[in-house]
Amino acid sequence: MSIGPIAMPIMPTVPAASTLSSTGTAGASAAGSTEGFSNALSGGLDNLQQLQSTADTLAVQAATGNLTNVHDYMIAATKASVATDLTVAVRNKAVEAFNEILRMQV
Amino acid sequence: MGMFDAIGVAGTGVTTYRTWLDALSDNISNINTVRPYDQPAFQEKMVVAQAVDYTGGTGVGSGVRVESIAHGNAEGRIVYDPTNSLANKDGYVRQPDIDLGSQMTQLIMAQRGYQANLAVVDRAHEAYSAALALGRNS
Repeated sequence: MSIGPIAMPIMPTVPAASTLSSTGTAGASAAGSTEGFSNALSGGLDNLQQLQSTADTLAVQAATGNLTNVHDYMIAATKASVATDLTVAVRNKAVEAFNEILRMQV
Repeated sequence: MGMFDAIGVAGTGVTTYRTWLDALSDNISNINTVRPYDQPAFQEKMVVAQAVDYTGGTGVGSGVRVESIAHGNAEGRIVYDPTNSLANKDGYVRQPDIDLGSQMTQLIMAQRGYQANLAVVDRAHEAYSAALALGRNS
């Protein structure tokens, strides 16, 4: 049940992170590779969204007594948690790299 | 299959062992179920597991699944028990042909298997978390 709220702070960062990376693209003039990064990031977010909705569905089943396998929920929650950590790490690294570029002396 | 193969594969193992625990529980609960002589005895339930591979044989497998439930001997043990209300006119009833010792041994195996698969989920989580912590303090 606690997985749900986590999705909310993550989702608004999607446009922010992708615009961030495309702004970075214009500056770095490496369109192909950054396009790949933004695709990878949005693909990862889609994946995360799916894992969290699976965990949410199972959490509702657990609450309503329709969950047949207890471990199914725990495994879904574990997957969602690892995926969240991964996505946040990727986003943080992207922001860190962008800030590094901003600090560059010209 | 995606990023968390180890967790998903271990999950199929947990599900299979849980089914085995369920089957053993049913066997043990019915170990004294008496049936009339002219009906089949309670049959022991046995889980038939099967390895699965959705990767088309190119990668490691995709875990295990319960293929079917096999049934034990329907003849059972014919026991002379004339006081039983289910006994036929010669005094015979059918009891299930299940060995409690074997069921208890299998129960331990199923329990340990279930725990082992959950330990795999835990270790995989630890490993993935360690990979994510890489370079965090630099």
